Amino acid sequence: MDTPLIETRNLKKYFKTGRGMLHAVDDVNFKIAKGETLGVVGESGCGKSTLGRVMIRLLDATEGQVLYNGQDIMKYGKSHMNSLRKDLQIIFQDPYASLNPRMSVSEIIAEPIKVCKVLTGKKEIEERVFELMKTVGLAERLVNAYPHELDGGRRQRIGVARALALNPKFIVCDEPVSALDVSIQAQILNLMMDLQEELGLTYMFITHDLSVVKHISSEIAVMYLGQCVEKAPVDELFDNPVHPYTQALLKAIPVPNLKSRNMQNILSGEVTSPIDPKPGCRFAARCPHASSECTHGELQLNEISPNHFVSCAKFGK
Amino acid sequence: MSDFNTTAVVDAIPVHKYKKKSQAYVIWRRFKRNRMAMIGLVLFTIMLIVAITAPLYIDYDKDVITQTISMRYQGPSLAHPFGTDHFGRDIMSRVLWGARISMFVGVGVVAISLFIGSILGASAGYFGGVYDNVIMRIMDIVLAIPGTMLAITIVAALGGGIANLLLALGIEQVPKMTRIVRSSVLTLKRQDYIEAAKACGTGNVRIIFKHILPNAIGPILVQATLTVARTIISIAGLSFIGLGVLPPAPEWGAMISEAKTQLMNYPYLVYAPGIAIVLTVTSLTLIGDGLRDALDPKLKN
Repeated sequence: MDTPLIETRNLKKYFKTGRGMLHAVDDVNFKIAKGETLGVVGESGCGKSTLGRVMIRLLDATEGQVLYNGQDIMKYGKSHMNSLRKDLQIIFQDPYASLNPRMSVSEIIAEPIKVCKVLTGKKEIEERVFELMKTVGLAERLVNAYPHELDGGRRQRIGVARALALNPKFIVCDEPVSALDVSIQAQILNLMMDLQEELGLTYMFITHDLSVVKHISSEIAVMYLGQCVEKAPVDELFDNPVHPYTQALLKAIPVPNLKSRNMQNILSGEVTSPIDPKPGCRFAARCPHASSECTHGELQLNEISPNHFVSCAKFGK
Repeated sequence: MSDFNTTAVVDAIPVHKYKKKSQAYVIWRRFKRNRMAMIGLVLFTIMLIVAITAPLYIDYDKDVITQTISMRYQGPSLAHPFGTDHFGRDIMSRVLWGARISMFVGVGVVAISLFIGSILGASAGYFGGVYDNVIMRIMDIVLAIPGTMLAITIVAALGGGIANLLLALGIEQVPKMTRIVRSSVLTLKRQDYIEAAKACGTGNVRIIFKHILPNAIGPILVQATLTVARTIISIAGLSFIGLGVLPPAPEWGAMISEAKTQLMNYPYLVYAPGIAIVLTVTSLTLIGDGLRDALDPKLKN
């Protein structure tokens, strides 16, 4: 792997709550090379979205570093950070909430261009808006439409166009397709993959949908309660999952075949509380293989085969 | 990296082909369909025109304040459609002129409270924390004093007159505006599009004015129209107890107050100013209700 475009080192984000510290992101390390896609999967509330927001510094980290081109963006001052924001963009999950209902399509797409003063002339901005709409496959006649007049797929295309408006290098995709119909999901995913190829984009793709992540990612990180429990290239992870949580996730993918249906080893119970978690493996309470050794000491990510990292006391040593 | 930035083939793009559909037009179309709101709007527009054009056909010195004792207490007639008062002044001229005062103070109070309230409320809601607490506790203190009491105190301390009336009623309305704006901002600031704006480095001021306040315009505008109505009543009330507009200026509340001693003998004295208050306040309330419905952007046609 060459120098990564973006890298996290011991990244932590805690939130103060009435009952203690909520460990939303706890000691996460990974690297994403230019042009690659890191898929981040995990169930609801495991800190995926928080991680995405910390990566582009919509939230400040509690501890640790986010290195962009080798420089820690957490240390940047406000004006320096603003000049960097062009490179780091985000696409949101809910295309209904992520678009300002009082702005038309062209205003929404033009807003980042105006804010960052990339282009100043009225005509240039207008041309750029049409160019972006064409890039994401929005018909020109929709230029003055308002978001509530459009369907989910078109709205998400607006979201993509807005993210692209500043020619970013890295885009955090926070479950960009989970609010869409399956047929539209495929359209948006294909659009995003085409754009990646065309523009050399780097994605961090957050999702809870493994079939989606398999389609788009080059590498996958599995998160559980703020920690990365397994990380591997996509084929390796699907063929040879090591961590019990990853195995359970993969088993939970529906198989369209009655005979091969496997209802065993489906996870029971709920995610334990992320507030002041106990030491040891956080998955231990639900793990079918857990024993006393799982609840002692902090676990490390061990490389069990090239680029395949697992954090488990029993497997992958 | 591709040459995405510098695409040369742009002359084929029909930039001005698509007409901009203004959002104001959409709101107007929705507003038009509400019959009661339209009645209110027509009424209010007529009164506004009357108030503005009054100097064209009424001479303030001659028609409005000149006392002609020989003409006092004349019932409605062709020369004086609403009769004359205890100083022999034409009530119609006074009512029409009074619209100027009521409208001016009503709109002025809203302008003052809206300006201060929007800035305080939006910043308190947006920045939160200690700042929010300080602002809102001060507002609570002002709010804890009964509105009329506060206005009476200020007018009593500073003296009557339109400027002090504006100040007194304005201060009374600021906390209410602040609360409404703040509560709208609180719900809006967690929206994803605010975060999207932050992600491209949009400054706080631009976020508040471009992304938050336009979405809060509905409740704010509704509150503003209703406040005009309430203020007109307050002015009338204050003038009625002698603390508002100074005589001989023709204010509706003051006219009713002056007529109250003769109410049994000459009841027509209160009809015109009373009806004027009722019509103005009702029309504004209807407009406010209509706006509330028309301004919801998610409402389908």
